[in-house]
Amino acid sequence: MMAPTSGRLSRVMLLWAITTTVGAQDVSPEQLVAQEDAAIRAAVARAAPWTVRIETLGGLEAVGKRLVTQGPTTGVTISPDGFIISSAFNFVQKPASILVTLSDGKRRPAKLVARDHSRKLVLLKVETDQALPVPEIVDRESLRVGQWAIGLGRTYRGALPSVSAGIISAKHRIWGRAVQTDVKVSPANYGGPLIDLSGRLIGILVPLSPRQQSEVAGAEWYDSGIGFAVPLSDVMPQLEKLKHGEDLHAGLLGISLKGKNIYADRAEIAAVAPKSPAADAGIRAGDVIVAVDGAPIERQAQLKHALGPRYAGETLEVVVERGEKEKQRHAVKVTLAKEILPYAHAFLGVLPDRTASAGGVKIRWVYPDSPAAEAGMEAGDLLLKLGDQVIDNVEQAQSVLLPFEPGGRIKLVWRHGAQTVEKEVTLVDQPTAIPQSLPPAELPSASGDDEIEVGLQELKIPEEPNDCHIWLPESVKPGVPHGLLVWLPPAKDFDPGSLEQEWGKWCRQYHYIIVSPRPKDTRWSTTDVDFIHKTVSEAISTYPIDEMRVVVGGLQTAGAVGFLSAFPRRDLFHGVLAVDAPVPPRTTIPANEPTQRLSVLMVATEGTRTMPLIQRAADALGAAKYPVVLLRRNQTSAKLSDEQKDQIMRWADTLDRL
Amino acid sequence: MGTVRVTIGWAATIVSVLVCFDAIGNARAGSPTLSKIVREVQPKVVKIYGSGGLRGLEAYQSGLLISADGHVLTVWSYVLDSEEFLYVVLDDGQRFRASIVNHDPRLEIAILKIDSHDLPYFDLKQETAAEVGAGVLAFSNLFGVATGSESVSVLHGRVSARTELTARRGAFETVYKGPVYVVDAMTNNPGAAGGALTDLQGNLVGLLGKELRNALTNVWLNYAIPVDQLRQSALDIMAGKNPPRIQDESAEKPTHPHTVQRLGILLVPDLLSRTPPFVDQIVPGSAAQRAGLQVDDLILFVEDRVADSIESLREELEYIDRIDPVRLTVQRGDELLELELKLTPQEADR
Repeated sequence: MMAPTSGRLSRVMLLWAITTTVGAQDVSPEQLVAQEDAAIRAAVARAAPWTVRIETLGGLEAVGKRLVTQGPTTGVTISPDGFIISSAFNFVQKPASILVTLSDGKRRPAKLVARDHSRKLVLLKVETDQALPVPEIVDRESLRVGQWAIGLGRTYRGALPSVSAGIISAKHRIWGRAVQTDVKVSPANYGGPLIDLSGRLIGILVPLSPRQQSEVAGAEWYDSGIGFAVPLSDVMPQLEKLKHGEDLHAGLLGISLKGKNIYADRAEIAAVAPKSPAADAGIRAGDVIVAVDGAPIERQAQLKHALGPRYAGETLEVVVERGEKEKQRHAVKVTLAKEILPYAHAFLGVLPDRTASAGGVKIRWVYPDSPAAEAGMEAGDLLLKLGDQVIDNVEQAQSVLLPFEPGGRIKLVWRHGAQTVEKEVTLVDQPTAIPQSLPPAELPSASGDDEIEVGLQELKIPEEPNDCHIWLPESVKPGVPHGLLVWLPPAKDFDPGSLEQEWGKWCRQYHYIIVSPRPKDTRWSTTDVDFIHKTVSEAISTYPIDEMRVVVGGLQTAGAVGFLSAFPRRDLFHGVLAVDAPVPPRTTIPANEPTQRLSVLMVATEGTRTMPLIQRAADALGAAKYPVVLLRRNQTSAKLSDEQKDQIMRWADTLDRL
Repeated sequence: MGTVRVTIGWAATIVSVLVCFDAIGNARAGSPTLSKIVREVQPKVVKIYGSGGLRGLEAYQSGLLISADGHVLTVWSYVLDSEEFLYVVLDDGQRFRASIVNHDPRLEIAILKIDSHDLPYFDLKQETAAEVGAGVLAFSNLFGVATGSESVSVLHGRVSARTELTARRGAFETVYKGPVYVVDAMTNNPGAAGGALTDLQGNLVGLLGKELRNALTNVWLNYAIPVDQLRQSALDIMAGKNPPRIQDESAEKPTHPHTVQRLGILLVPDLLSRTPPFVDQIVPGSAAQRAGLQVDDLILFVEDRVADSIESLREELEYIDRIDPVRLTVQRGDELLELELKLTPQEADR
């Protein structure tokens, strides 16, 4: 826990600062304490009139298994004519009635006028015939880390709001959207104000998570000393839009970047979404973003920081560097959008051979009726060029294809026997069926004599209570890449010894290692997802694994957990296998990322209650342009038959397709 | 787990703060420092060891000396289950067998007695209260960190609110329903119950309560029972009087309560859990019609209690006797109305 440590340090420094400034006036420590108390009480008294109580009545009981506010919550009067701002957390349960208690003590019905989806705020309106008290707003840039901050809430009854005092811990968190404080922030004060020692409004207390987007994300950090407030100085310029009922959204550029390490890699564009703001401004794949609105961008994280606070509709100046040899800088104006058309991966129609690693891409198999087949490409041919780009290996070929979408035309150059063939093809959509049969893939020879212990082993992750086993086929040797099937077993009655019996044959045939993380408790929960990620990282760092062929999945609940594991980590997983499992409710399907291709195989049993849900999930995933295969089966048992397992593994064998 | 770690962070914070204050104090000889106050308070707080230790129940808690002769005020809990295994350890490491004088089930407090004298103690007769926002210190054997002659841990925080735990039925499963101090120091952890909440001068403000979670929001609450709420009961027990018996919650319910039907209200069908109580029909000539209730009104409160689902509305009505009027708060479009429904003697009698 880094944050409390730095908070503690700042607090000590702050006290030193106080002692040195008041020391001149010879104030005793008792007086100092009394002055602090008095200052805090005065600040609270100043903020009390515009800190209002909100009751949300009627509505859903629980949102997932998360904390949901049921008691009264808090808001801040933001304009004298009755507009009130609060945290979206307080409204997830879709209340039938919203009541606001103003400083006169009377309840008034309120309407939800608009939402700020970027910062998880809501704007309410009450009818009032007198001007309401409003706060003075602190400019974010004037804040100093270490200065006093006080969080107020109206959950408890009483004339004064509830008080928690602390300091500002950081000024730019959650990609610039929030300030951080060690004030205790919880459902008791979400929606309430964070004020300074003069009783001025710094921001609105909200739960936020740097990794997740939902309204309740971040609530698990309640009272932890890590709390967030959205600075109002960022939102005020947008207030008129909100007042007119217009929702605010995070601003999107429509690009995806090359590389995996956002703290090290430059902001080089891997693909530009068609009809996106970036495409309209003439930004192209291969460009490197070097500045946004005058601020230099050297790494991807800086770009995330620069874009994080911006809303859709805002215009910014982007400077890109273009050209291989003579680097030219182009400055363009881009107006951010709230939505980007989903990106679809283009498909050429070949499986690469896995034995060669340089000098072109050897073709293992050509999909019938694919663009490659129509151009006359055959197994054993060597792909040399895509467009004008000389192709050395599979990764490079994939990266060259990224800017292309289905319908795009590209020139292929390949060697067939002794002759070199050149043809232009039209790329198509990713396949939605599994090949009837595939020639067995050949493995490269081992890179060393070291033995890797094969068979069933326990995989222990330090500090984690969950169990996990891994089973490796005999073909695993140093430098011989295998796929990884992360098979989430049923929560109860699972025997690790059954892994080989159930999957051994297919893992041997299709060169997959199988790893089986298990839940902490007697049922799967969202809290197990982190452990699943750790087991995969551990397996990848320990064994020779082909990162393009990492699949997570399971039956029913375990299959749903597969989606929850894969969605936030599409850098880790490239396939989801969901058997009789829909996408869990209230799970947002993330936008398809060009650089993180995720294929989905759903197996659904006809006549079951989940069938319509699975169909709907498959449609939604398809609409988001994920390559989805839906296998329908007619049977009474949930178990997978040998034939189904063969199909599943054949699908898994195609994840490195081009 | 978040709370747990934070507590440790806060404990460390306090150490740093105290170091700071000490520096100021040394610079000005003669003025009392916060660390001196802490040293004065700590000997009045004791470590209590008793039953438990199974299923994650810690076998320890904290207590306050409230007389020079060894009366100890603490919370009534499973730790006190058996006098055979009940020990009190003082600040200087002295260990005593303790006996239970008596307990008050309404406040969930107990008074223990150890055989000693000339002890430092909190005088319950002294008036002490803390304002919202005021700095406070919380003394307790949090997590059982202090053992033997080690002094109890101290946390620094502020009074967040003085409030009652009764705002909504079912939110807090406690017997005690009176006012509490909510604090922003993380006292809601094992071992803290029975500890002292003092102001920054070391005056006793409240008794740290047992671990408590809001059943509706799942949020842990850091709270203390104010001295003025428990003073009389504690003094009575020390004087040998028997505390009053606890009242059965169900006894609050009248034999002949109101029902929605009898008031003349027909609600929308209760298909889903937590269906909001929208009025579907009004029986002509009924109390509902006389009070002006209308179709499509949304009932929100019965008296001052939330009744925002058909289920909770029915439950709240069970607490009101048929012969008494019922005050309903309803929403009609953008308006909020208070209506009083009263049965005629004939209607109430039938």
